[in-house]
Amino acid sequence: MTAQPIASGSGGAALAERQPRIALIGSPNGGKTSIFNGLTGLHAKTGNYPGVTVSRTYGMCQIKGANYNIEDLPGCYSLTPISPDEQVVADLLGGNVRGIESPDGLLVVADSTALRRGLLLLAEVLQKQIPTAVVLTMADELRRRGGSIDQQALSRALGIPVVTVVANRGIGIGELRHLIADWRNWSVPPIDPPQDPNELAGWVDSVLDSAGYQVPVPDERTLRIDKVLLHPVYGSIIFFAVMFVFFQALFTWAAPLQDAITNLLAMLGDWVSSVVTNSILSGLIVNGVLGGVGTVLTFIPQIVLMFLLLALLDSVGYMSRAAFLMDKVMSKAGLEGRAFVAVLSSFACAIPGVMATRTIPSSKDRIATMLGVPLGTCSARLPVYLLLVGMLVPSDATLGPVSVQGIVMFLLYLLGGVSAMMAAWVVKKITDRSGNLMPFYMEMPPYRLPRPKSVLLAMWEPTKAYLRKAGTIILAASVIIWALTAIPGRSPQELEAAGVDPTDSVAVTSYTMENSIAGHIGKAIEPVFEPLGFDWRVNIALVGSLVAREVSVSTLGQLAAASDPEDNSQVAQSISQWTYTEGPHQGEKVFTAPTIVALMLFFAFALQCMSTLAVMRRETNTWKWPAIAFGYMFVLAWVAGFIGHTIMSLFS
Amino acid sequence: MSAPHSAVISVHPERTANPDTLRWVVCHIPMPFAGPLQTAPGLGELIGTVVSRARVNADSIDITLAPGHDWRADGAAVRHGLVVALARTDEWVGGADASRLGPDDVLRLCACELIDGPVGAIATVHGGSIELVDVSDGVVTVRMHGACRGCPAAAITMHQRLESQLRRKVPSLREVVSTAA
Repeated sequence: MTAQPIASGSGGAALAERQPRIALIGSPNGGKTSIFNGLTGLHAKTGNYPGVTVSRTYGMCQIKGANYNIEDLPGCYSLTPISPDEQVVADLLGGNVRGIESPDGLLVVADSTALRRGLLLLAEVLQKQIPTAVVLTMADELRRRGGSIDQQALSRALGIPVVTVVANRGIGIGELRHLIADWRNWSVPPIDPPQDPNELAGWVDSVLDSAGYQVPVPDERTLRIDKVLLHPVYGSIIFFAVMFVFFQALFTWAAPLQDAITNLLAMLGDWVSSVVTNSILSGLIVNGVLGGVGTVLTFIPQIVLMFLLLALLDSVGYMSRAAFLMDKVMSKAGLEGRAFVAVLSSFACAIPGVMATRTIPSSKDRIATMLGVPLGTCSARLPVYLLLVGMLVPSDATLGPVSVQGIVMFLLYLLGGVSAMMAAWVVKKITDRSGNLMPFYMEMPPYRLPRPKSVLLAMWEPTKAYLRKAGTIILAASVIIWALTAIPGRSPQELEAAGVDPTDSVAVTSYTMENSIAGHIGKAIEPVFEPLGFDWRVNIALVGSLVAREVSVSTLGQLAAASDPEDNSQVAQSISQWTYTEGPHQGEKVFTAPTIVALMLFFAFALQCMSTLAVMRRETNTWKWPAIAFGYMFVLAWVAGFIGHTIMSLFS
Repeated sequence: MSAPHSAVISVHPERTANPDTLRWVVCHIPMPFAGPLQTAPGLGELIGTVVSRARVNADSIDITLAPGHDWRADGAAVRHGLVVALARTDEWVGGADASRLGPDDVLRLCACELIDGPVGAIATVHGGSIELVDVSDGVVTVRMHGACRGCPAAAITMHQRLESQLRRKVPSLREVVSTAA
């Protein structure tokens, strides 16, 4: 993870320093992002906060010829951090983030359908003595559900400016822009809101009352749907059904596009081969880059589709319910809410998952959760699974109306979720004392129709991250691995001495590869993975995957491209033809069902991710825990792979 | 959130024209009288030292700080004292010209506050004014002046605004009537 200091440093950044920085702060799903988009257009920039993987969004807003730097802070319910996002917000307002000064002005974005909670956040924000104004959102929703609020009376009671904005219809954005331009003159409350919880509750009551706030009656429709969706039994069944359909869609809908990309890359490869005459250079481009990075790119349709479906489910209001439901089930097993948040985050990436453990007060629980988190099915495992599932199950295999590929994928995700929860639960049982469960606080937004713009943005961000990773880490790893497999080139004399025909390019490549540095590494660890059916080429991919799991896919793609340059079919088809080059199974196929299952299980459990280890080291301040995590997960992965290989061998 | 033994006291401060004076708006607690407050539990040590003057209104208390004090520094202490005092309004001691408040008195004071304050300010912006004519048996009678008069839209919104804000403060309000000039 590289941190990018954005608003600091030298050169062009110094210019940005002089522009007033206004930050939006508010709860997730509170309409903050719509306001941000309304102010900045769609010209948002994203990055990371230094040292954490919480993403940072900021953009420029021009008002009356002056530029304002608008920052969309991560969603938070409170400045007493419970998640890494809240930690970042708290640190930022306190000026405790290296290289980023605290903002000049704050806009607290408060969902008017849940204003009490918004005021509790505001009360904390006002203690920071930064000029602050309130932006009320969801006023249309409040009205629709029979609630009301007097904006002027609220402003008077709070002592600070208040504007109402309905961002998707552009109402109030003009007023908000005027307000931002006037940030130096925002009124300050005569005294800060109380900090004593009792006095604070009285302050909130009194302010809401003076502003004529009427709580919206719970949406009838939402209540009825929730009765089913949040039901422990029906809700769980529906959740698994939704996830099941989700993975079905992933395979069925994305396949045609994936073929198109594969063909496109093949054509590109042919063209490069015909244009670039230098064999080393064309090998680097065709085998190293196109074979490696290209293979990773062929999974773009699935990645896009997955995030599109997730964004849809989220914006309809389903994801928070799914999370709530799962927490209800897990808390029965004694897993605490904050640990659940960590495991949940790890489905995107283990790093935010590990970071989220920061909010767990007891260090034992923290480490317990940290040891379980990397088992969650992170998005880096997705391309690996997609490749392997595609090899294991023919795409036309169906079980009734459903695709078997989808079922296997679903089971792999289930395995990741269950094992992460189990690991956290087991360690918690071992170390447990108080059993004091911290409730998981999650907002249940009313069901809404998804807004296309926000869905597209939610889909684009992770896709961009995937592309960026493909263009940086995976590209670099591909080039290095290509070099390790193709260099040194062998002289014709040496080839002849080894019995290889120097004019047969396929034979030359495979001889070169087998005797390359990478080949030696792969062979050196062969004894370890021999019981799982992995040959030296798979081992190279495993070593490569330590950089990032996707590198295993790019490596297999490279090796496939190099060993059979005429074959333009998908990598999966190409590598499924591989045979063992030596040993007792020489000539037999490498990627049999037992080997593929073993490889899947190995990837499900192994901690093949340097970044996660580095973050664990930073969070625990010792190499002990990352070492333990790597060790236990390696053993788990190896044993699971071995069991899978053995069982599958019995059947085939 | 709240400690079991003490009920939540709903109060918040609002600015007034005088920076030394804050209006502490109180919700759901009837004031025992209107006029100067001499002493009250929790505020005893503050009045005369930090606080130079405390005046009780129908639904708020105006507190003025003594010279040399400011709200940023002393606000929290005044709030603590006020919360204690509001839990025991029956022990408050009023000044000489303090008067007991009947239901219509509360209504009148609250109507005056609104007309002199936020609702009247909006009328002024629209080039008019509101006059309080009478308060009896829970009915408030007002008269519109200036540009407001004759403009049905302004009259209706002004009327509604006054009525809804007043009802918020005094739930026993029956209605607001505007008479012809």
